[in-house]
Amino acid sequence: MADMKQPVWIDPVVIATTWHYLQRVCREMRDTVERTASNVLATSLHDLAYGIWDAKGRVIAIPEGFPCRLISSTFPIKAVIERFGSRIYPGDVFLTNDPFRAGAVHLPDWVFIRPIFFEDELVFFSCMGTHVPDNGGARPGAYFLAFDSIAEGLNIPPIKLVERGKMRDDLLELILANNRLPDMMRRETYSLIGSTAVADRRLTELLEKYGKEGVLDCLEEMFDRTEKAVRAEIARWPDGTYQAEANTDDDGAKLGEPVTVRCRLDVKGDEATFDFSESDEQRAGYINGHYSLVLSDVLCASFLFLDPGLAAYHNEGSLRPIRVVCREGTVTDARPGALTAGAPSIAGAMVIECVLSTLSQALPERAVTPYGRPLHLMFIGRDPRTDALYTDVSFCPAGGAGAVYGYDGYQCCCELGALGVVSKTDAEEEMVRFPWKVRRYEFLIDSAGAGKWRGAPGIAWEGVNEGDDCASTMGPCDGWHTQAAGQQGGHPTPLNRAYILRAGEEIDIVQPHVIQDLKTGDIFVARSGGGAGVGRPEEREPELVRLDVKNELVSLCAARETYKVVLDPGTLEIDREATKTLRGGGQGSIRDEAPPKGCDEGRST
Amino acid sequence: MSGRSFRLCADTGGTFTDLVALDGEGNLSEFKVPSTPADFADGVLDAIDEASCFHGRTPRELLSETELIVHGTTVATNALVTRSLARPAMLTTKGFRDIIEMRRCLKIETKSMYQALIPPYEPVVPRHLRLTVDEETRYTGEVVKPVDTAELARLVERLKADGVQALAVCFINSYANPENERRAAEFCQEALGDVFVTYSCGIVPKMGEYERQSTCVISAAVGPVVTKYIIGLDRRLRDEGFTGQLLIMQANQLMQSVAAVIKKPVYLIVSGPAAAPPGAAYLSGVLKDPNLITADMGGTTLDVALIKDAEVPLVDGRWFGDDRVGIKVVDVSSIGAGGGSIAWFDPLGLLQVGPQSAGADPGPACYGRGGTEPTVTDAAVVLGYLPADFFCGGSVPLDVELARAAVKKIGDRMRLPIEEAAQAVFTTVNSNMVDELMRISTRMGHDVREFSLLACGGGGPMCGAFWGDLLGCRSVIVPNHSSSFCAFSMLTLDIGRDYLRSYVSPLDKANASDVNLLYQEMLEEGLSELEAFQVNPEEIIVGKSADLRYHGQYHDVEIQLPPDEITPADLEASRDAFQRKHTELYTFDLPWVPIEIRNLRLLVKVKGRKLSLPAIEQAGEDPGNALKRTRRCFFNGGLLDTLCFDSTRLKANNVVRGPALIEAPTTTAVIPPGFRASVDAYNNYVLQREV
Repeated sequence: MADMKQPVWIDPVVIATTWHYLQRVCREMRDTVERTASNVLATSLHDLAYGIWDAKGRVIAIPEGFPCRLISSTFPIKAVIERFGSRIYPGDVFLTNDPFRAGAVHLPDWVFIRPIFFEDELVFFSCMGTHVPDNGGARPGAYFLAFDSIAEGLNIPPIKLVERGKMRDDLLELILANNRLPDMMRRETYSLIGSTAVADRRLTELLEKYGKEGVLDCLEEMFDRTEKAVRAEIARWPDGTYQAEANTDDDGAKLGEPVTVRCRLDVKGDEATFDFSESDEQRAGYINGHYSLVLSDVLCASFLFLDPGLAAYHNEGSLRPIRVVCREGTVTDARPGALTAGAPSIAGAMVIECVLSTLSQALPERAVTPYGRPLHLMFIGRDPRTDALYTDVSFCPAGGAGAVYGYDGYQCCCELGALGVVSKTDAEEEMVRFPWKVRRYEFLIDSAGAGKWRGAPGIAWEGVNEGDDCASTMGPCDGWHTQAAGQQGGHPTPLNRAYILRAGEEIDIVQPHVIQDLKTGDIFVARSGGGAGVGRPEEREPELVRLDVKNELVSLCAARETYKVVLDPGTLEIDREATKTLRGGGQGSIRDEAPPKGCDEGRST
Repeated sequence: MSGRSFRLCADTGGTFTDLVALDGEGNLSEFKVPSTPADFADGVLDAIDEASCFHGRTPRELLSETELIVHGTTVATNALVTRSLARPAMLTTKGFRDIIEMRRCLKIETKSMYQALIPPYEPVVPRHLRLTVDEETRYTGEVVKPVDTAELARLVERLKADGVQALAVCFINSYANPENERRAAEFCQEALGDVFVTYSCGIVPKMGEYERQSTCVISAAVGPVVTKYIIGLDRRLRDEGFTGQLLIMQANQLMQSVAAVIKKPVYLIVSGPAAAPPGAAYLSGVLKDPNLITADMGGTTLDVALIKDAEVPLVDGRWFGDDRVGIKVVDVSSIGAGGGSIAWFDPLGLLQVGPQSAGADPGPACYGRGGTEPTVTDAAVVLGYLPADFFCGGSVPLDVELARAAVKKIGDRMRLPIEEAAQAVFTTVNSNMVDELMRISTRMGHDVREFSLLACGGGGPMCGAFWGDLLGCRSVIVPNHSSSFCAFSMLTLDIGRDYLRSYVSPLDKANASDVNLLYQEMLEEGLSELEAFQVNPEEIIVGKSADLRYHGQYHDVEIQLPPDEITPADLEASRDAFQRKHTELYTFDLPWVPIEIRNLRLLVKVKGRKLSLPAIEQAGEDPGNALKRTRRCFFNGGLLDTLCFDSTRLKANNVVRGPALIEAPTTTAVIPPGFRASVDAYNNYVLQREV
């Protein structure tokens, strides 16, 4: 009898308001952090772990943000429930960053978790976390080859940092004593906790308005409706098995040896299973991922293939028809003690690449291809203007989105591991904050994966070091030696490249996973590849090729060699006859996935 | 002759041009004529013709008796949204050619991260017209590399060859020192003559190259269109005998002179629709209803805004589609749905309505001007809601047969009788519009039951009750003059502009005399823009504020300062005000972290004239005296006998029960079955479901 739940009548206005209200609370949390923090990863890059969960740790609102940090936060919240149980009080705030004791993403991600009570009863959890600019460990910056996971950074199992509204200063001081940027991290702590207080305030208002029962009834209904809608969408995916694999340059320890993530997608009726069991064994280097991250990434990436009308409505219900399988001991589910710094950017991007590929095979008219491989900057050094340590993290050089079926890649979208949610900082802002003069930041010619629909272009970024000698860490970068594939004959993402100009000499950075020492006055040059293509380039509308040439995004040489379009160098008129001949009379010629030969002048300018 | 006693407000929308006239006795009259996209000024003069007829004067007589014309125009918005821009080009710092196209990777500000199958962004200036200049200004303001006039001369030749009509000069770090930017702009203006040239620090001189450049580029791109239009209109009005003041409505709810407006045309983006919220805020006082959602349905678009506690929502920087404008404006959003929206079938065979509009020319099929595509207006004619003989007071006769022929195309495809097809079109457009209303209300977490819906524009009174029902608002208000509500609202506005200067300094090192110097500079700019008005210095209202942040943050909080000379004590006091506001907004402060000033802001304005609404005669509930006729209208799948009332004969306290229509000269209010409309003291109709 107890299981026979009476169907509850749900007021349509209450459920609609509640549903949207929860998303607004998430937006307000994000605004609070972005407007109050000083760490660029939180303020501009949307590198946030947040959302709203119920008292059992079921996710109610999945906002927009860094995919690996969204649904994965369920794990730290459940770890808090498990560890603290009846010792969770109103006004408490918990902190963890521990991938293996709590399912956090990687050590630099500090996640603050707040239980939300209403009339002395635990009703919700909310959290806010971000990648912090320093987390102790053997070296500044997270991406280095540590001796072990202890040396990789401070390990924080779930701890109660604030009890009943009172900061436990002894714990905070312990943490800050192990941090190289204690002043910054003290205020960032308040800003991250502050955003969970905003959630507390807003959710209490919601509960006061509709009553606890009314709101909780809505939640069950929301889960069910979402599940139903997601199942209906998956039922439209053709049944079958689809396979994909993605490579990364190396694991950061053994250079020159790629690591592979493999995925098998089984679609059956209204359910889908993504199985990563055949992926490579876990590695000694820092690129290992684990289950909570993979789950989160797979779900968010698969949302791209559902009705976009569902975007603001995902919750626990969306998780029910989608299964994610990983085998312990692989790079997708590493054992405790593994190094995980590169998990979001590298393991995560490979996982997402596999999801896009399998689903693009299943749904060719909704094909979505990978973005340019990650190329971010991280300079760590001393700023002579303030005599203080700085960590300058910038996503500005990252290349754009891959093409999708029907359209070229979106130019304002980068970082596959983040599904494009990272934004870039104004160069003017960066120059004030950090001792780096940006002297170039613009699109790069011939830098997109070619195709009937091409990827968005890559970027040329150049900066002059006006500070002291410093270190450049490119641990989360990839794509120097491996590429992400296009779809339906579209070309893969072009390779990334970076070098240092020192006293007129060009010093190529062959292995970005090796930390570079930079001198005062060095010019750092980054050249990223853009997104991959969809469809064969020789099928691209010649007029679009002409426009790309006119806009100096494609060289005359690449137009001819790759797109098989001949243009008059003076007027840029299309030579229809020559183009037709080159394209084999419209029948298409042999598939050519190699980068255009002899067109290197374009990219090196 | 009574001298110059008239005030006229003209609001040009995509389809109609509305005019509201206020005479010396405080009487309001309103007029509606089709807009004239070939030259929008024709429509304004047509409306003035109508008004002069009504007032028994020639247009020349009316204009010579007019002291003030306020004008809101869609001309800039239209140009931006449809990308019918003058051919704009851009000069920017070498190495930074793509700032306006990369848009800081802010895709998720306007699109969901889960939307993948979408076309890339189309920049306002294509890459081949973004030319670079070898110049350098440091973040400190030091000019390391001045602009080289020989290089500029070469670039000017290219711009000429490309037939460029507008130019935006946008250099990196110009906020710290605009010298290079200004010099380059002056050089180009000189060399390019008629080309509209503007530079980024002339509009928003603050740090952050993307927003500054984007604003400048948009200002340049709409500049030639706006200048030609406004100067042309001013000249034509004066040729017709107008000797008063022409003021242009800006997106920030303030009016400005022609000379001032054409310097910063970006302030005209969404100029007309921005009037509705201040008008609603004014009306909320009259109605004693502080929470209103405004829904202004014209021929092409629906413009919506949410007013809580009678406050006009302002936003510092906003998106128009995927384009960013970095000025402070009224928070109004729009979708392409209106009376002219065309019904069509998508590739899945689903019925869609809009965003394509038949506009004013040819207009809906029932206008008989050659349009054959079925529009919302045609559907409303078929349903019997719009009177074929009294549309725009009878000045636009509607052809019912043409409407039926157009709607039949939809019916044939759906295998439905014509009336049911018309109902399908009407319901589809209403649900699109309700989605937009929900986006600004429910989806922002507001409970719509705490709001009344203000249904205005030509189409609002026709659809308002249906929206209110779908939304669940507590009532729907059809204001008097609803059809020209934005024009009406312009009677309530102030004149002026807001100004900004970048002043980056730790608060404890901020120097009051430097601050006052910048305020003086802004005040002089403001006064010079107000010079044309010959206002008394006592009438000028000054508002000062500063953007503050904790050192290291990326966003500011605006803090009010006293309007007088700023003293060191005022700056000190802003510290506490900032901490308080920070706590209020974000739940905490960081008292140990130093505070920084970023920008100084100045608002310079002159209060508009007070407006008092004329009351109508009181009576009982029975509206029988205003009964005009009976018509058959189609509601919920059946034809019903529907009473039609004459709006000009309704009296305060009358109650009209649905199904009924209230016919006004410029609009028709539909009271569906189950609804009642009560007439208030100012001839506003309050619609509610019968209990």
